[in-house]
Amino acid sequence: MGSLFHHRSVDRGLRILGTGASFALFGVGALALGLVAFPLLALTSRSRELRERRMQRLIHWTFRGFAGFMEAVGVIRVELLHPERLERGTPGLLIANHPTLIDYVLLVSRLPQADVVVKRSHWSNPFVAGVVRGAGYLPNDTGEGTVEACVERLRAGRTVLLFPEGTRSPRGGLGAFQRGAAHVALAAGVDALPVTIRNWPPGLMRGQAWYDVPERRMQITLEVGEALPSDSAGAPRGRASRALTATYREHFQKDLGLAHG
Amino acid sequence: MVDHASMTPDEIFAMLKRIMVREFDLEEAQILLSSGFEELDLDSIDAVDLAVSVEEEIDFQFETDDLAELRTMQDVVDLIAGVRDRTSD
Repeated sequence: MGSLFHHRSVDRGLRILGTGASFALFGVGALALGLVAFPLLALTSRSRELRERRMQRLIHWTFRGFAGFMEAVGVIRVELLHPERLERGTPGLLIANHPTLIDYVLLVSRLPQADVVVKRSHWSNPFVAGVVRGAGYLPNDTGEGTVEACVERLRAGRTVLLFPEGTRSPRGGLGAFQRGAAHVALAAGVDALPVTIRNWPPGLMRGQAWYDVPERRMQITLEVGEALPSDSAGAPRGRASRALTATYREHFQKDLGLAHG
Repeated sequence: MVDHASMTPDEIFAMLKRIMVREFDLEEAQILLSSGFEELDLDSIDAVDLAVSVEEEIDFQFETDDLAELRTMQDVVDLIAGVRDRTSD
């Protein structure tokens, strides 16, 4: 028993080190992308769109490597269910719940191109500001402006990724959904492809310190669901977006096995 | 089109409630003069839709900066009734 406890303690200790190394690697990587890659791509790309696509592809490959590193050092194990739903041409509008700090990283590691709607605060974060600018990500706080930008990108055949909760989920639950994703789907006339993210044991969650790693390696599953259609049925925009947002949230509640509420 | 200057504050508020029930699926009883936009779960896009609907019903025009300054239903009534100072351009 003593030996088992010792083994588990050593294992957890190594995963704390691995998690710390992952955070450090992320910080360095983000700075390199923002301070080196972005200026180089800006100089060598003949248009803003080309620069953004190249930067997004670079972020994708970087995150693939980063996710691989986290798996290699034993911090996480990741499984993608129904990858074929992502691979059918351009996925279009993707919506996901947001239980952990690395959801965005894991999703983008599977998407060679993604326009991501992110919190405005990232533009003033010294580590990621260069990345969000270089990739042409969209701030989530300009209301109609954000919706119009997303619609424009979807119509150009690009993939747009949104987290309707707008921030990380409450522990073990699902936050309130903002209506931006529904507005985008209705305005663009597109379905939304939901990706349900589950993690067990809990880790990297809201309000949780980075070193508060679980007793064993965290299993993270990304499940790509069937497309959720948007249809206003002629209702006013306010009603239609509320009904569609409720549909989105119910999908995730059901997928996560959560009681209504 | 109704002249907003001829409307009483009660009439303005009744119009706003009617629009909000129709557009946002709210219950009329939820909407009080003291109700804040956040409390009613109205976002910036809803504010634009409310303004557009009001302009379609009465001869009142919202100015660009008006919406950003409005926080409660009382603010909207006061603005339309002409008792609230507008943000200068």
